[in-house]
Order: sequence, then C-alpha cells, then structure tokens
Amino acid sequence: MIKIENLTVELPKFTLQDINLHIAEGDFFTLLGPTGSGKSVLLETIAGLVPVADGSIKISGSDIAHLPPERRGLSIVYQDYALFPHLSVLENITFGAKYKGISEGSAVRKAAELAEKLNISHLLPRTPRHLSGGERQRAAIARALLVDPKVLLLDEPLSALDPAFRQEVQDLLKDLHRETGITFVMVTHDFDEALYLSTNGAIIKNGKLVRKGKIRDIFNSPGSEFVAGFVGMSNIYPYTPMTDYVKLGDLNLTYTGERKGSETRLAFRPEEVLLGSEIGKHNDQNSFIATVKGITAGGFHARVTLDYDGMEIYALVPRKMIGNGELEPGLPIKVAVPEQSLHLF
Amino acid sequence: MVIGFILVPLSQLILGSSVNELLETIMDPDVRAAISRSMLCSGAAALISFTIGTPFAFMLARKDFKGKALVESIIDMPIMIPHPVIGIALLSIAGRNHWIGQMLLDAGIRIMGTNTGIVAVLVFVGLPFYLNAARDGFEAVPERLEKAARTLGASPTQTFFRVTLPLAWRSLLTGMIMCMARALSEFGAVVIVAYHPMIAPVLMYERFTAYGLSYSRPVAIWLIFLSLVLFAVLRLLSRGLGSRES
Repeated sequence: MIKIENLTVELPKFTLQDINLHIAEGDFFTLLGPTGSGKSVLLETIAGLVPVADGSIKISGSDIAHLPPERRGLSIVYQDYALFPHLSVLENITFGAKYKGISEGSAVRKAAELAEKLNISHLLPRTPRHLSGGERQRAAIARALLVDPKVLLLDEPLSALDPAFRQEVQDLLKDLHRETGITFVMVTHDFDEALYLSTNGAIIKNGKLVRKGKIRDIFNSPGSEFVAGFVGMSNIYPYTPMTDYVKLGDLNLTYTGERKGSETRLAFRPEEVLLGSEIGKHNDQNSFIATVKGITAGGFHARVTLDYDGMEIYALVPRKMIGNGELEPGLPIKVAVPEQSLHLF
Repeated sequence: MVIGFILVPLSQLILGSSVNELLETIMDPDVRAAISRSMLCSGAAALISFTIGTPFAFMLARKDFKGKALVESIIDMPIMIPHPVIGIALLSIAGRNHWIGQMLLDAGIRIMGTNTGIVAVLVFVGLPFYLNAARDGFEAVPERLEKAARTLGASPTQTFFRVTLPLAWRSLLTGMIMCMARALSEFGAVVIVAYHPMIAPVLMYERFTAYGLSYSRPVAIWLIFLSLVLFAVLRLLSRGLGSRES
C-alpha cells in the first residue's frame, strides 16, 4: 500500500535519512520515537506537507513523492485537532467535500452519518471552541474521514486529551479502523498506545529508522539499547555468555533461549521482576537477594529500585505491596527474574 | 495625565472656533475639496496597500529566508525617515532625469503636483503600518489549519481564501485603518511632491501662514470630526462582523 524507498528530507535544522518502509493495505501502523526524532516530519512528508529531497513514496504503486497534498488522497488528524475556528462543526466536517467532487447534499448526509457514529450529532451547529477535547478530536476524525482517504494519518491524536477521553478515543480509533478498513498511520511517543492500537510499527531516532516490524516483536525483542529503553525495558546490562546461563556480575541467570552470538546486552522489563511474596513456589528460578534502595509510588503501581552488589535493578510492583512491611528501604528482599523475561541483543 | 495631555490641546482646538466659523468654513469649496481629496487619497492608499501588501505580508509570515530581518527593517524605514526626505526621495526618481520617471511620463503618469503623486506619497508612508499589522495577523493563524485544509483537498489559493483570510481579516482591516489614519495626517512628504492640488493638512498650513490660527483652526476641526466619524464606522463594522462570526 505505502512503500517508502530511500526517502531523504532536508530541513534547515533536521534531516530524515534513507527511510525505507512498507505499510500493508488496511494496516494500523505506528511510527514511534522520542520528541524531536522526526516522526511527525515523516508523517507530514507522506502527507505532502514537507518537500522530499530524494527517494520515493508510492501508494498503490504510484509515486506521490512530488504531488501536492491535495492530490495525494490522504488526510491528517493533528493532536491539536486543527479545526477551523470560524466554521461550525458541520462546516468543518464537510470542508473537503467540494474539492473531492462530493455534492453538498451527499456531504451533509455523510457528515450526519459520521457524526452519529462518532456520537457528535448534537454538536454539528456549534463552533469548535464550545467543544471539549474529546469532542474536538471526534470532529477532526469525522472531517478527515468524510473525504474517503486512502490513508488516514494521525499525528499524536491522543496526547492532548485528558486521561478520561483518551481511552474513549483510543477505542473509537480501533473500531473505526476495523469498520472502515482504511490504512491508519499513527505517530506517537507512547508505546502503550502503539501496543493497544497497532499491529506493525517502526521506531525512529534522530531522523533514522532504527527498528521496524510487528509491535509485539519490537516490545518483546527490542534489538538495541535505545529501543529497549524506549519500550520501557529499563533493566539493561552488559553480560558474560555461558553455556546454559548468563553471568551478570557474580549472578548466574538461567537462559537457554536462542543466541546469535553477536549479543552484548541482557535486558528485562521492570514489570517482569518478581519481589517477595510475588515469587511462588514454582517460579523462584533466577532468584537472589537484593536490598531495597528506593520506592516511588505511582497511582496503581510502585517503582522499586533494588541494589544487588552495586548494580541497580528496577521493578514495577502493585501499589498494595507498599505498607505491608515487605518492602522497606534498606531491607533485603528476595528477587526473581524468570528466564522467559530475559532478552539478549 | 496621559489622557489630559492628548485631550487638553484638542479640546482647546475644538472649542476655539464658533459654530458660525465652522459652518462658513465647510461651505468654502476649497475646504471641501481639500478634505475630500485627503479622504479619497488616503482611502486609495489603504486599498493599494491592501492589494500589494497582502501577498507580501503573507509571504513574510509564512516563509523564512536569508535576509528576512533586513527586509523587515527596510519595510519600517518610512516610519523612521523624516517625511520631507520621503518627498524629496520620491521626486528624485519621478523626474525626467531618472529612468523610472521617464518611464512613468512615457506612460502618461505624472507624479509632481498630481493626485497620483499624493497617493504615491501616502502609500509610501502608510504601507509599513499595513504590512506590520497584516503580517502579525497572518502569523496568528496556526499553520496547521492550512496544512489540514490542503490534505482535505484545497489548493493553496483555496486554503488562503477559505481558511487564512477569514481568520486574519480583522488584522488586515486594522492595518488598513492604521494606514489610512497615517495617510490622513501626512503633510511633510506631500507638501514637497504636490503642494497643489491641496489636501487638508496643506490647506491648513497655507491658511495658517497666510491668515493666522483662526483661519486654519476650523479646517482642522472638520478634518478631525470627519476622520473620527470614518474610523468609528470602520471600527463598528469590524466589531459587528466579528461578533456575527463568533
């Protein structure tokens, strides 16, 4: 569907270099990366809003790299909604109709259908400033869908929303993707969103793609220290490979999984580190005693920093574990890292 | 104190003439012609500034290029230069000895002592006010709105007329009002380029030097009064359209 080959974009203070990407028809694809990595620039380049210096962008076989945005058949939804403040919600939604050859009557009928699906029918006569964040985002999505895009581009569509609306819009995007069958390309810096919504994705760093593939695979086998850190795999260490185990300082951790031989780092996710009573009789594999160095309580979870022979290990545990006497700074606690949680790269 | 500084001399000016003097003055064909010329030439300057200044202001708001700061400084130059210098500068290129002047004369356009010359001077002094207000207005329109419009199928021109202009028009109108206000009060540059036909400030100056304060004052009162009415109407129009839009 979308095939990007050797794409280079040169902006005064930023460059996208040699981007190669293939997004299948009907896919929900996510471009991930930290702030300033170039993911929004890549999205706007696909949309035709940023000029291409070199390379090609093909949609269904046709190279659109040098077509103006209005001739590409893609629409974009921005995190700040970009609704036209001088037009009503209905006028916003039907904005693109006249340029796409949709008659006024059809446009109004289609807008009414979309508004009903997105639960904003009662808001059609209002202007955007009288809408909540979630309602504005729904209106922006309806506006983008009315013109029947081949691809819907979403630039951090959830990041400006309150947590209450975020889940709602997230579910809505998932439903719309399933119902319309349109290819969705979303930019986000939130890996949770990507995991929930998309099947495939790519990670971008300083204008270069550093990892692409199935989101689950990226999550489970990040492949590099940067990607591991980005997907929240905050325990990353150099290690010594042994036959059926790996050596982390003087700690021997059983690992019988696949090895390429070029790996230099061992990593595991903080939520997969088990502490104290979480360790059952049957899963005390790879267990050892560490000292609790610090506890940072969050809403539902607490982040525990452990010290094992000068090495810091991070664990994410249910908040209820704090205050039951088991976790106290300065005291020892049994720690287990199950073998299936270990990743080498 | 600030308001007093503005109001005391103005109120003294207004109260300094009797109703009879005012009526007599407005019946004078020379006064009516000069005030009309002032209004029409200033209005023409504002319209010309709108026509030539709008695309330029939009470009300044949207594009970054080498030497942009220099270009913006050049735009502000007419505000800083003493106005008789502007008149002399315009005359020096409008005469037969300069190729521009020669070209204009060949096309039948005369600058010295004509309404065309007056309008040229007023555009020169008023354009910076329009350009600055229009550029600020365009800058206040988020570029993302234009980008969203483009992906929805609108061309750059359609995007400008359907998104950018409706959101920036109030700044453009303010710029035109400021340009016109500046043009109405111009004297120094006009008196060099076109002493005749007379605009109101030149007529006031002539009456002051020839007959004294009491002859020039009623002309000034009429100019202030008519300007106030004009600007109040324009402001009301701007607010009226604004409230209907919101």
